[in-house]
Amino acid sequence: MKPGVNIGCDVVKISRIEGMMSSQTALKKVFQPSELSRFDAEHLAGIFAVKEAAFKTLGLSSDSWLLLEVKNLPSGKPELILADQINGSSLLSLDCSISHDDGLAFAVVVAVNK
Amino acid sequence: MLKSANQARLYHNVHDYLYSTCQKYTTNTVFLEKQKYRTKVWTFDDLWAKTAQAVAYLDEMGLKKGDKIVISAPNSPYWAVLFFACALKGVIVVPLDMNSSVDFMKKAISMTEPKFVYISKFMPQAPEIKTNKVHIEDFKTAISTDSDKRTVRNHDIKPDDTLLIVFSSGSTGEPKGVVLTHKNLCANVRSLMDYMVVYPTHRSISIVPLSHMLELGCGLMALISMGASVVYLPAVKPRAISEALQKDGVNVVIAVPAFLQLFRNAVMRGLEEKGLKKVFEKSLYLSKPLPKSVKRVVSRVVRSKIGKDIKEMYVGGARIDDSLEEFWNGLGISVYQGYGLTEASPIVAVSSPKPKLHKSLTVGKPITGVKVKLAEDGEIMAKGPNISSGYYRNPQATKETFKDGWLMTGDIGQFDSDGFLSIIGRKKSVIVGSSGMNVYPEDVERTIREYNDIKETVVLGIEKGNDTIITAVIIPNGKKVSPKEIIARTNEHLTPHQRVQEVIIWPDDDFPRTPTRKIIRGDVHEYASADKPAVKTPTAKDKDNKLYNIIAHVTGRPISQIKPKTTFVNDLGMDSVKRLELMAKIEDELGVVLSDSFINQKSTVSDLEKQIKLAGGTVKRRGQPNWPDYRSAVYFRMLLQYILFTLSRSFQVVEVEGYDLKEFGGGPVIFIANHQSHLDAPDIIKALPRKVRAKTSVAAAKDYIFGNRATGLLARVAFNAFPFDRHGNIDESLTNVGKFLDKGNSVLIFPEGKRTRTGEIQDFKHAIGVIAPEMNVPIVPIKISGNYDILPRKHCIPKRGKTTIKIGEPLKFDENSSYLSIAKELNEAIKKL
Repeated sequence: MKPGVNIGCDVVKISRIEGMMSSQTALKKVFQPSELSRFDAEHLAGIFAVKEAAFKTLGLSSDSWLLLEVKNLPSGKPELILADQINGSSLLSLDCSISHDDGLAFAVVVAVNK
Repeated sequence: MLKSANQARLYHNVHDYLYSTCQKYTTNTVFLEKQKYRTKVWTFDDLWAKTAQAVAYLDEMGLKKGDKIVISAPNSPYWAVLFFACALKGVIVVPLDMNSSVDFMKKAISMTEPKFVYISKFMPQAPEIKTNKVHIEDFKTAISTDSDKRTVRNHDIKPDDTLLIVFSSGSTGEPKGVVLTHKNLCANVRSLMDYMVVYPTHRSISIVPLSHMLELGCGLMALISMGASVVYLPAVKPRAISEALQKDGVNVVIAVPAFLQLFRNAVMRGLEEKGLKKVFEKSLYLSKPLPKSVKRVVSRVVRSKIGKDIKEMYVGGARIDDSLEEFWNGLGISVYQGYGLTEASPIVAVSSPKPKLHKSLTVGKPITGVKVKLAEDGEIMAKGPNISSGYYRNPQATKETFKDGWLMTGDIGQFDSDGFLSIIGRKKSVIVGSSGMNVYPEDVERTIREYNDIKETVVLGIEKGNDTIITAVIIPNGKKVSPKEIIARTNEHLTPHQRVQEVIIWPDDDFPRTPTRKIIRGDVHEYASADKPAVKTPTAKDKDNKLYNIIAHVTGRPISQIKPKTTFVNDLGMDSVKRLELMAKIEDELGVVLSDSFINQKSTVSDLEKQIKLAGGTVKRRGQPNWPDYRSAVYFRMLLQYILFTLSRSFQVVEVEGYDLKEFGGGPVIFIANHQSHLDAPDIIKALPRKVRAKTSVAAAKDYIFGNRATGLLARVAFNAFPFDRHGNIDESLTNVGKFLDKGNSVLIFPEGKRTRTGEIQDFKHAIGVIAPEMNVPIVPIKISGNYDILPRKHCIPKRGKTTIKIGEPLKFDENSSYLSIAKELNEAIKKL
């Protein structure tokens, strides 16, 4: 990650996540059990997009799904949490945002680095 | 009535059946619930307790006697418990096959008006079902709490109360629901006890859907009534079945013929690859007159490919080819054919291992209490306490099928002089040829299938003008076949009126089938009657390559477009979702776990093939050796540990504080500790109470400890250690942890993955967060201090010093927490000690 602001975004069709929802093996590779407890395609597509965007922002390898967790704050705003093993010591701030429309889920992740 | 080892009376209702059975077999195993990494063992006591809990759950759901629910979910102990609970309460169950079409399900639902529809949330068509759905996963959670509820109020269920409404699957047109009562099922189970020879040592595997009466009536109810146990898989897939057959001690199989066919093909393919097919066929022929025990010795090697313990197969649901039965008999596996139908809940006749009740290639004799006679045209008619009273709200169909108390089965059969019944064919599929004589397509099909180059065939009468042409629709076994040659060679063995006049090659690699693998003849007929373009037989190579098939399926491209040099991203348009689906499918079907980061811009199909071969070689779920469990090894370990502990006393004092593990009663746990030094594992083992110590294994670094043979062996001998891959293959490591826990061993893990460099506790690998909920055992945190000063990294001579071991209270985690938060929580828990 370079110093200063880093950004990444991603968009995914909700119907494609719907297709994935019948394979427990696939779901378990991507989502935390906590994320799966609300089992609807739109919700999961949003999380999927945040994680893909975070790979870009943070420069993670594309199989780091389970090193990330997306939680909803009481206000409904999503919050991105990193596993301890991702070295976040140089991160000043991290934020994400999700939007849905017309069968699409879109997410942006912004990280500010020292 | 026949003398039986299982002398039992006729059960009054399912409550009576289940209560008596669970009372009789109490602590015996009834189910093995296979999970991803662990196996949960259910005893008969557990089954009763969970059913009692489920009855209370049904009360809470507001269900009353006479209400209906639909169950359309994968086979599992929870399916069985939900069914039994409904039976005890008088709630009528409508089982529907999970793979039924949405249209079929909707029709069945609107006809029976169930209060709730129980489905799996992972079912593809789940979103389409709108009627009051309940996820079976939520039912599982609801009855998973600990409860000491054991009593069930007697709901006064009469023998003639309805238990089930079963829709025969797959057929087109209006679904018909067969009404089955408590008496029907109980009578069938009772009669089967006289015919099947089953003991509590028997273990079976659930393959046929529970929505099918063969599985529900025989595979579940009859088997467990004699104390046998059943293995339930997380998903019924060929790979999982064969793994269970090999490792879980399955010795009896209840299945449909297609299953036997599938496994024969697998065996033959394996032999063919090794060039042993001819030798095998010869030895099969030569061993024919030998007794079963000798055959079993001879065929040991071949059987080990399928499952070395299998002794008996009970087959029903469709007619089985003679050659198939002979094949299995040749391997020393007895095949007992049965004949039944949903309307008979389900068995009418069955071959039995008992003397005078078995004749090869027949379906045996009618079971106790069931009368069978043949109509003038040979149609089998059956009467008895197991026979349904009719179809649900369908007087017309009931009138046609049930005549004067006799069930008209629609099957043509014959009795031999000893009273054994054989099935000749379906009345409906009889062809009246141009000669005016009856042709049973089943006879012709058997003749065609005699040849190895034919995989499957359906023989039909196709009307052309005033003529009926006997037409064989065939699926070749990969090789190119000539229709002319098939006609010529088949007709040699047939009488003139049976002779095949036309051969059509089916365009797919299988016929359309019902969920129990019966061919849907109507669809084949439709295809064969239409004018169609010539079809090309696919080459053998395309069909056999499983990986190519998987790639084609995931990408939605024809298999012909997939070549070794094809790139995933550019040529196949693979993106992250598809990549995940591909990796999941490879994992499910080939048993190889790959990281999805493997596929990048440049990777090609052949790269993936190489990767799978590589992984298959190293991953291959290599079992852990058994010798560390031998009594001699256990004593030797105790001695060795004693010597090590004495040695360590010369430089180290170990103090133990905190939670007293003697207080902890039940079962294995996972110990997790921070990691300072090589002394940590021995010190923690030493700190455990003697009983716990004897049953604790250490997860040791695969690359470090097990990277070297000597240290690996020492670790196994001294600490019952097993390899844990800290970098790559987490799946293999979790499988190992699960196996040790299943054996009743506790496991010690160091979640930091390596010894500390600074003395401080480092962050935990997220794998520990996965382990905690997946293994479903308590986690005991342990903090170790002092060893960093005694023997840190890169030192080999210990200094004198004091080590403190603090043991925390066992922790349990919600199965819905995130792996990250668990890893963080556990880290905190140790730091706080």
